[in-house]
Amino acid sequence: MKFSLNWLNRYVDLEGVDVQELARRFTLSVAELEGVEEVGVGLEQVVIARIESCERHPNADKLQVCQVNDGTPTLRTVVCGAPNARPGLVTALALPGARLGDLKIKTSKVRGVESAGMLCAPDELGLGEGHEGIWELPSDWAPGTPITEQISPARDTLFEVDNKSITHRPDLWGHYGIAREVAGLLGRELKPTQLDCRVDEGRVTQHSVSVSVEDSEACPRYTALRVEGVEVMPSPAWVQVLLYRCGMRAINNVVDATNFVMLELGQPLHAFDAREVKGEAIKVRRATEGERVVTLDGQTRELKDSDLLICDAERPVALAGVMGLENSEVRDDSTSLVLEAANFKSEVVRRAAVRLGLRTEASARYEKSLDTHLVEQASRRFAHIICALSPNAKVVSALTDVWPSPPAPISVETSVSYINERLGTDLPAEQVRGYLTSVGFGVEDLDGDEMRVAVPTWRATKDVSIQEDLVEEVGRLFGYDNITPIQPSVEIPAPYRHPDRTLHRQLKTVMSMQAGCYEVQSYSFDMEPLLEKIGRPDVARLELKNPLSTEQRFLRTSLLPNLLGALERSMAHADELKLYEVGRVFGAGGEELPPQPYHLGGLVWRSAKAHKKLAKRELAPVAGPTALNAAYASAKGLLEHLAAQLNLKVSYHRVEGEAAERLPMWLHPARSGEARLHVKGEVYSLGFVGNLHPDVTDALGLGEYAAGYEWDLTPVVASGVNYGGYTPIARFPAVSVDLSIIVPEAVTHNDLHSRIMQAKWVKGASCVAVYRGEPVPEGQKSVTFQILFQANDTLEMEAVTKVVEKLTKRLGQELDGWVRV
Amino acid sequence: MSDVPVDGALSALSALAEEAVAAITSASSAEQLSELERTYVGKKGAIRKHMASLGRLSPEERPAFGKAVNEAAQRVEACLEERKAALKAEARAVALEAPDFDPTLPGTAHKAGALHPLTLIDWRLDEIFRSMGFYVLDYPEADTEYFNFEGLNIPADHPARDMQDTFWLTDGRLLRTHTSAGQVRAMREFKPPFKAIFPGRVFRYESTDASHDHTFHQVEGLFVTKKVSVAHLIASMKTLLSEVFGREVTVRLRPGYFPFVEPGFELDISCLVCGGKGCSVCKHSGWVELLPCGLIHPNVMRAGGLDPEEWQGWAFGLGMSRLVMMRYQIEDIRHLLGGDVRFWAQFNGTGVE
Repeated sequence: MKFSLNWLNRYVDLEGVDVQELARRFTLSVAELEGVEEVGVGLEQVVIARIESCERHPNADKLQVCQVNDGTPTLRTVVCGAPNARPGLVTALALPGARLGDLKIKTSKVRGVESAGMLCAPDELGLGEGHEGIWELPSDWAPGTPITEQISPARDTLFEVDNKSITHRPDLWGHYGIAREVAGLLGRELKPTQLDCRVDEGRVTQHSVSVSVEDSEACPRYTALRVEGVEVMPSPAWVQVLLYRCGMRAINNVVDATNFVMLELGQPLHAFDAREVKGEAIKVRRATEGERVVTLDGQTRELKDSDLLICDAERPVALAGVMGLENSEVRDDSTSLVLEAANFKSEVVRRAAVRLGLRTEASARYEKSLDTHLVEQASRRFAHIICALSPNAKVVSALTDVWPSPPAPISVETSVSYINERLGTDLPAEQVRGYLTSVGFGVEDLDGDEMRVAVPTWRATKDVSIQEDLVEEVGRLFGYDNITPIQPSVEIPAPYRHPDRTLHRQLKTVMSMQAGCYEVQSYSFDMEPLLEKIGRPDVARLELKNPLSTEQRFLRTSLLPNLLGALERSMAHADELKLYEVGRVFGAGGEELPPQPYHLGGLVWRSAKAHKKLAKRELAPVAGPTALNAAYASAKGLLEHLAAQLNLKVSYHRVEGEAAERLPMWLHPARSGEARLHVKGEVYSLGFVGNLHPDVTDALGLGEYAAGYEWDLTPVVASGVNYGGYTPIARFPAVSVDLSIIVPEAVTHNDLHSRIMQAKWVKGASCVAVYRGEPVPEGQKSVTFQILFQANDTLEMEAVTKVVEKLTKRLGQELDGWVRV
Repeated sequence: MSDVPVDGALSALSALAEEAVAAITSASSAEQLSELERTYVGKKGAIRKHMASLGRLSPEERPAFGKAVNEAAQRVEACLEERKAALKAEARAVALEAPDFDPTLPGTAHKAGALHPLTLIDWRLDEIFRSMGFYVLDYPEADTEYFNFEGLNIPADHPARDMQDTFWLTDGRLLRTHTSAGQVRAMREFKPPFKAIFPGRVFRYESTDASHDHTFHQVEGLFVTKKVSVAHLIASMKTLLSEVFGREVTVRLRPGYFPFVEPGFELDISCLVCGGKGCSVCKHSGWVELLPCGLIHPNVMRAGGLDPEEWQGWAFGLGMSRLVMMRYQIEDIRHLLGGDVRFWAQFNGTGVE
């Protein structure tokens, strides 16, 4: 909102005040200023001029050569392109030498004709809206008069206040409230508003409009005043300029007077054409569901039963607090008005305005909970203004005032010591009292340093009600920058480490700092066009009621799709990528909250070219030679490394039965494994690792070397921090034996490994090769393990050989394994 | 009497030693030296062979001759050692020269990963605040209207809700619009006095551009204790922010309105670019608006199950995404969650400073 210093000056004397210093103190003590703007600079060289004659420019169709009376005996030649330039028009002329913003006016040739100045549109002078033509000024303004004499003072300074910073201060939505704060800051007097007006002595004691309020909670106060003898016409230029500078458009003297009072006192007003207030009655009622009205802007609005309507004896005439209706607006031929000054409950206005998308200057103010006392002052101020703007206007009725329950005054008991304690200051009582009274609080001293503070009505609607609010008043007026900082005393808190954050830190350290992966953070929403390509999971997703776009309207249920999206965007810039993300995924339902566990998701990918190059260097006796196998092994290898670093016991299994239903649809149904976490004898499914589904790799053009994984971290966090164990260093040498066993394809590494590990003295066993082909029969494979035997004694080879024979026999019986001899 | 003239044998021995010394002195490699060692002083070498003739000498002659053989052998061996050392020294001298070496050639690449810059800043804050006795917490992203609004003294239809355009879920819940949504949860979870920060992502229903995204990161700070004043808040913020920015900053408070604090402030810091003298970054004011903060509103204390007569506190909310952008001079906030390897690959380091 913009505030004019000229306007403020009417209520608080700003003589001798340094504007920049005032702006600084205002920012530090009242509200944030977004800008301080000087306007009206350079207007000294602009004069009133009358066009005497116009001729077509010889070289340009759209230009006219005007002879202009500028108050001097000789006419001045000015070239003008405005369509409304015509003989007899009184307008504004910028003389050579004038500076209008960045534009410097000088005598120059326009298409061969010399032009000694410029005829101006209001916006070129910064005095009004409109660029459709040059300014049409009253015909009785004398040529040669500086424009600054007609619009006085022409120079002004505007304070632009950040609206957000005065959300809680309904009193600051008008110049008078700002003036009150400035007066408090400067220690100067706040002058009263002028409220006198012409009245029809015979009728002014009579109520002319009857008012009934059905819902006094939604409309705590409603007043109506009748004014007659109004002549609807443009407002004087100074009013138009003031309104324009404060961001409003001048319409006519009646509407301008309502807006003027609103900008001054913060109280919205509405003037009805009295002819259209049928039955001379106003009724305030709730709308009926589905009721339709046409607002001033010509739009038909469908209402809800929570909306509040102002009606006459027959029909609605205004949507309370938001906008008047078309049927009763002031027209050019209106002469008699019914002026509404009322108070509406903030929630009612806000709900209607938000729902209808109709945030008006009025609704913005009502939303802040206005002071009900303001209504009468605003009504009387309007009467004063309209009498000034319309020479024969008269108030012809008493104020009809329906105010069934004026709010009880609010007072807050506090003490000087409490305020000092909360501020960390040591202000004397006198000073505390001074700050409070400077902005309208009443202070009554009680025992000791206790005091009872009466809250002024304009601060009592929602803003100030507790001691803490008074702490703020004193603090801001004293100036927070005057408070000496004090370090709080030291306390030793009980230690606490957040388990999720602790795990995430370990996990990211391993993945990024050890395993060479890039950490990705992506949006929490699914990207529908991507799912269109790679497949949309058949699960209930959390949905936004008000998405920004239809593309992002569901919360992600898996980290894989957005990682795939990131991969798709990045693969042109890399040969090889290892990506992972730690983030929440979301599910529908839940009790208090939707389920939103942290997951770990990741992808490994190589271009075909890169794999060809790298595969040669990488021996793959276990994973096998294909890119598919290599990618899976790489992804699983990452998880194995992670588990080893975090001391997690994780096993991998074929994806079967119930697990197959949980497998993310973007992973390969047959080339995936399920990861299970083992904690103290309990087993938890963590998630899956697998090659990407061929539909996905085809859709994104990923090629064969692509695998992904996703774990739910909930069971990992639940398992707590796992410290690794220590085993004393063996005192006796270990014996290593290689065992190659041929088994059917269905037998897994797990099947073999678990049995090997159960054999006597076995300390470890690692698979070093998997071989298929001659002489191993079709449908079978030869798996080679390097087995390490260790005992608390020196092992004899014969004894180890016996153990291996026994193991081989067991593998033969249980897994159809056999050893080639 | 002996059948071999001793003089002849002695001169042959001497000639042999001379020959060996000459060969050794001109030898140019360790291999040649080993060969010569074998030829002359090895067990079957030429000098040792002379010992065989000892038996044919008279007992009187034997000691002198034996001595002569030993001396010849010792002479050759000494010469061998000397030559070996000389050759080794020559070789070392050569090894210490490297005219074809270029120390500036690029090294072999080690494939490193990278942490996301949000994580780097998160960890940095984690370390700073934990070292100052703060808990570092984490709260839900999809939350209820109560924790995001009501519990923070922002009832329905309160105009303050406009400040934070909300993503509503179809089930009536919402995506938190600020990390402040964790305040009441933290008060209910921890026994005061305590200090905590909770970083995390927040969501706003607003159109995006280079400096706005609908998803971004904040970090909330909360301090609950017996007695807290504005003076404490100023001192604490100054200390915390100086640590965060790695240099002494000046802070100032202005009135600001946030329903969950009373009094509420906008906190400005002295411009880090010009140091407060005024520049284009601070719009020539010397100050940059950094964060909202304030003393916790008694209604929020009550929502957190704490008696405001007994407990007081302060809270602040810091824009973490903005901090990341300031730190790395990132020109577009949308890069943070945008998913492009050319972005992630630039951030290295451990997050530990």
